[in-house]
Amino acid sequence: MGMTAKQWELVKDLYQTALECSPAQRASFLEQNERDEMVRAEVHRLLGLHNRLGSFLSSPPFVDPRRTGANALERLTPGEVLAGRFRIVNFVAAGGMGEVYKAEDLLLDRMVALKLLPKELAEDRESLQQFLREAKTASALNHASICRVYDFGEDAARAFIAMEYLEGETLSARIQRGRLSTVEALKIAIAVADALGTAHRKGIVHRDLKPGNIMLTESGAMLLDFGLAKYERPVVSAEETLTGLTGDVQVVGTLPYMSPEQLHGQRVDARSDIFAFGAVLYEMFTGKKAFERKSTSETLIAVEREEPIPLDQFTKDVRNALDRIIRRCLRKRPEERYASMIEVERDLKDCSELISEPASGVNPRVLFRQSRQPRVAIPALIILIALMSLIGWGIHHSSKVRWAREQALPQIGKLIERGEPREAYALAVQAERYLPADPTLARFWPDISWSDSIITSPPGASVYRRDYNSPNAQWEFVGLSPILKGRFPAVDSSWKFELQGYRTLERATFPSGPIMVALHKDGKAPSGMVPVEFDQEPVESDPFSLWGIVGIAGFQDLPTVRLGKYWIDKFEVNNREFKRFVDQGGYNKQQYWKHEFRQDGHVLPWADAMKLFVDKTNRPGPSTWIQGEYPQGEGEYPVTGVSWFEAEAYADFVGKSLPTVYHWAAAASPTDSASLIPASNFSSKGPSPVGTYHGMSWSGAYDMAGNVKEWCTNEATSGRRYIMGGAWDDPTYMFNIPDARSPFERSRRFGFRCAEYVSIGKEAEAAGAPIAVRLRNYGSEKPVSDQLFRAYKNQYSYDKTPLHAKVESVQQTEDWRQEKVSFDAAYGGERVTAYLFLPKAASPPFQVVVYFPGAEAAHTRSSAEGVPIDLPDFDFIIKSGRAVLFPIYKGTFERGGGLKPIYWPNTSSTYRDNVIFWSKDLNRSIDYLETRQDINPNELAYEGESWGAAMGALLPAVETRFKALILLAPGFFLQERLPEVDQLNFAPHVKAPVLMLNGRYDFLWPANISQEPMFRLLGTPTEHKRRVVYDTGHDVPRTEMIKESLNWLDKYLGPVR
Amino acid sequence: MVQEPDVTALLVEVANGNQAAQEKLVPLVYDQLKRLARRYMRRERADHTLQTTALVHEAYLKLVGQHSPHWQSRDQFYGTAAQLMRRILIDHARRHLREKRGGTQVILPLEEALAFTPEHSEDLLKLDEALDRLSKLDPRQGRIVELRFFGGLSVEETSRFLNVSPITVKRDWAVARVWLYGELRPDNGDDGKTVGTR
Repeated sequence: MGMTAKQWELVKDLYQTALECSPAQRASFLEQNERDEMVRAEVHRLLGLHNRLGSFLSSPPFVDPRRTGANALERLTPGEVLAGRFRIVNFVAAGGMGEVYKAEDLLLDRMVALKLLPKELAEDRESLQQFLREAKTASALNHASICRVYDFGEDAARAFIAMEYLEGETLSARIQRGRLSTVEALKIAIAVADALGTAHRKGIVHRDLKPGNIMLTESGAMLLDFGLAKYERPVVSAEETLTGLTGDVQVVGTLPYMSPEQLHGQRVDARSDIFAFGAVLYEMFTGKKAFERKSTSETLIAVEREEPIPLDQFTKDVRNALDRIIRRCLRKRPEERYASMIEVERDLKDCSELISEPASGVNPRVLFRQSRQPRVAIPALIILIALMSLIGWGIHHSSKVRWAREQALPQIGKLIERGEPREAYALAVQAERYLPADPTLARFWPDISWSDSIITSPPGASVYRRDYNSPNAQWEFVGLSPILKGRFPAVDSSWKFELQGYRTLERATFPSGPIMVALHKDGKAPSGMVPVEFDQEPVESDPFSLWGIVGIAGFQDLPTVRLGKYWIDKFEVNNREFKRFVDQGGYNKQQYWKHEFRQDGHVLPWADAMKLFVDKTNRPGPSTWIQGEYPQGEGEYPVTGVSWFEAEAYADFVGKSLPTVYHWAAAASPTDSASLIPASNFSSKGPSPVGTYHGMSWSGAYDMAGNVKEWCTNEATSGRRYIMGGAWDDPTYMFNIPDARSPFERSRRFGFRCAEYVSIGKEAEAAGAPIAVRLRNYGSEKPVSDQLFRAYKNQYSYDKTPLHAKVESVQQTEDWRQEKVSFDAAYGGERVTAYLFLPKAASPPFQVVVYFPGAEAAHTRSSAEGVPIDLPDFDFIIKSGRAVLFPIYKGTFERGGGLKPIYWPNTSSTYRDNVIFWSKDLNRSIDYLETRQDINPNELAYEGESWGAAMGALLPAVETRFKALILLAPGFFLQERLPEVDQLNFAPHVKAPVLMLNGRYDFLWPANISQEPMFRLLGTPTEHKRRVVYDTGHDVPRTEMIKESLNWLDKYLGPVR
Repeated sequence: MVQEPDVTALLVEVANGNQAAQEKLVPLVYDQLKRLARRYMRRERADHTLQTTALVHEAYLKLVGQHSPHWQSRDQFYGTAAQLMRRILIDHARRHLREKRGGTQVILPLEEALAFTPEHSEDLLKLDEALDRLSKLDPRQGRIVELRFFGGLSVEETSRFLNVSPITVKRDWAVARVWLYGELRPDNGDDGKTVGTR
């Protein structure tokens, strides 16, 4: 910048002061106060920029609501003056609409309450204008019981409202202290009714009436926050927010007071206020909320359907009259309520005349005595929102606190251990109400919940959630997006996003990271389709992103293609839809049939081909139809009996395309197999109407798994075309295995869905390219002869040269002693590092398990980072009193290059060399173990995870010192590789007792073609082989893993001494 | 599990000015932040977003527990984390920077960022560079931006951490904002009367 530090200091000082001058005076101010032209010019320049600043940098890349409940960056300091008129006295609270300060109005010499508007509102000019208009109208509500709005202003991109400063307490705080007497309550009710009536007459609806918005001051009850509810930003409120089973909810408006039509996002009018008023009345007289239940979802149901508990159950001095008034306010349907507040007020007044004054002669004027506090009081001022602390509940809740601490917490721990995170979550949420800052509770959350943001564009959408596997449950309202740092139970969930004017969108999470959803205007969204935005970019630490298509056997080696944005049919094309194609002569119009009909080497003319595509009565149509019609009543069933050509023609007819395998897979997400398959139509008697099963993919599309197989556009070998997803009569693993058929083939099991590409660029072309994938067929392949095997095995031999072992460092934990050791590798002058975990729960010499990690190890640079991640796979082994050795195999962690998937077999000699390196590393590791006094090398086992488990079908044939093998989620690789590194040839020579734990829905190694052949071919005698299959994907339930592994080790290594 | 060092004790030490403790703290915090950041980079659906909302707070919780002993220590933590956060975010942004595709790529201004998404990568990198330039001229001011923007510290917390008055923090922050804005939006910044200010 060419400036000196000193000049810069001057610039900073001047800028600030100049800003406080009016724009007209600035120039002359600078002239007078600063001689340095450079400094002046710079200040001038900065001042010029100031107006355009908006909210640039005003919030950090993240906002943590838990810290302050508001945007911490912009907290005003006492003494600061806004708009040259309001001097901040102190911060009062973080309100629903931003922060509230007490300030001195220097112009009119009085105290005001300053409410700062959220920055999102302030910078959206249009919303701001509208807001100001509404605030002005509200301010014109000159009424004794309506909090007056004095002024609005802006100062340095913060917009604010100056309101009447009120001292007193909110009705909600008052109710918490104890129930009101009938007389008190009636007085308040009438005042509020009067205020509301006035507002309604002027066409203003409050929209967010609740005890928190009613202030009890010396001069009576006052209504706050008129019509401003929709500008509220969600904030956690200790007194009003419901934390129920939907999760850590940040609720706008407060559920127990919202009318049914409000909950549904329908038009809100004066009668919604009447409903809320009824709820407030109810609470005043009974001390309880009319519709509060244990969870948000139950509360919603209660509001919608249930009648509040009759008043006389609560209080004796309430007459029928009051009960009637309240009931009428709380009618579910607006037309059944009072038509106007005037009537309500009249009825209330009648009521108060009926009820006699208490004999003790309490002066009604004195009713608000509690709030006559000294002017400088700190508590009980404008209390709108409390922060997380519930300390105020005090003795009242000590028994609940005790329950939470002594019963709930241990129970939560037990539920987690039992693998019931859902129940644990519900309990934890309850406990949190009484133990808000408890560290033990805090440590549970990561196990039972996931915490993330839900962001839609545009924002302001209503977000709903429900358990994925409860498709008939009510949608639970979560909040309005964006939901920052929401907390949700760690279960598969379905989500719904609604915004007026935009197409409602559904998604599923299993669970995952932040949910970012783009909503599309209704007019612009193709009907019956879901949007998919899928853009893969390689991320160094995530193996999945380096593979082609994840989750379809054999496709992981395909080139990565960036798909951009597209639409895909929500359901498979059904009979009714296909009929339009038939009826409109689709089979007679050649223009839709754009592909060559290549059969047995020659090309059929179009007319001849059409003769093939006929139904059971020889009319043009799918093979399953009769006389040009689909079977009666099956309109909603997926159309079947269509060839690839017919599918393509239909797609053309409706202006869409068949999806490529890439697009299909991205929308289907085969890696969610474990969640999707149980909810889909597999292994059944026939296809179902589309959408019958609740198996929705993350993208919102149904039946991508099962029901009917779906044609894709890509060509396989020999002119066949891919057809994906599996059919209703298929075993479940067909979801994860590609199939390709003759494009002429028509079957009751074949159907399709369409895609619509937003832009057809190079990406879509690349995605549509032919794919030739060969999967190994272990059913027909045979291992090589023993002789040949021995020749291969020789390639793995090495010389037992000195190890030159060293202990590099030692770390201690409560449960073990962790040594980092190193020794010479059996090749190339390299060193092998290894982590040796020595248990404290037993005495040497220890049994030992050698570990081989999963694919991530090849992508993680540092073992210091990576080892702790794999630790859960074997920490329980150490705790059981056994040692574990974790060697850093060649190509992993520090010994690796990071990006290449070295674990995927191929026919290169590099891969062959690598496998032999790994084997030698393993051998040497055991050689090292043999030198240690504290290890018993005769009690040695191998544990492998995923990649390591797959290697467990090969390495132990070379390294024969193992007494037991534990393989977590293994399978035979499906790729070709050189025979000397092929599991097929080595498995029969693995003789050690082997435990295989598999997931039924494993998308990398499908059960039938990969897992079962491996288990079958392992050479271990049958009585020492064990395989357990779980209802998971490419993983194993943790408790099972622990149980089975330890049993296995006890059995084959012997119990720990 | 590897023995968790007593982060709380470390923080107290750091608050007391113990330099060695600070050095021990940094890798722990960095470690934790990266570990958490990884979690968000696994198996994304739409964008690779680094939802930094959770990161520092979660890192803090994980390392210290919700029971912070001393606001001073907590300030130290967040202050240290601010620097690390910046490093991680910039790394992340670099990774995500992709070439513009024929005009369809829109660079959203930073102020619309609720969560950090790939579209903002370029802006973030520019900000990082501009911040470096500012720090050369006024190191303390650069540090304030780092603490407030990347670390999310309030004015009071920043003033405590750096041991300067809140007024100074506010002033420096206000000027930094407008200066950085000018650096990132040079086309907007000209009011026609610049005299050799670059």
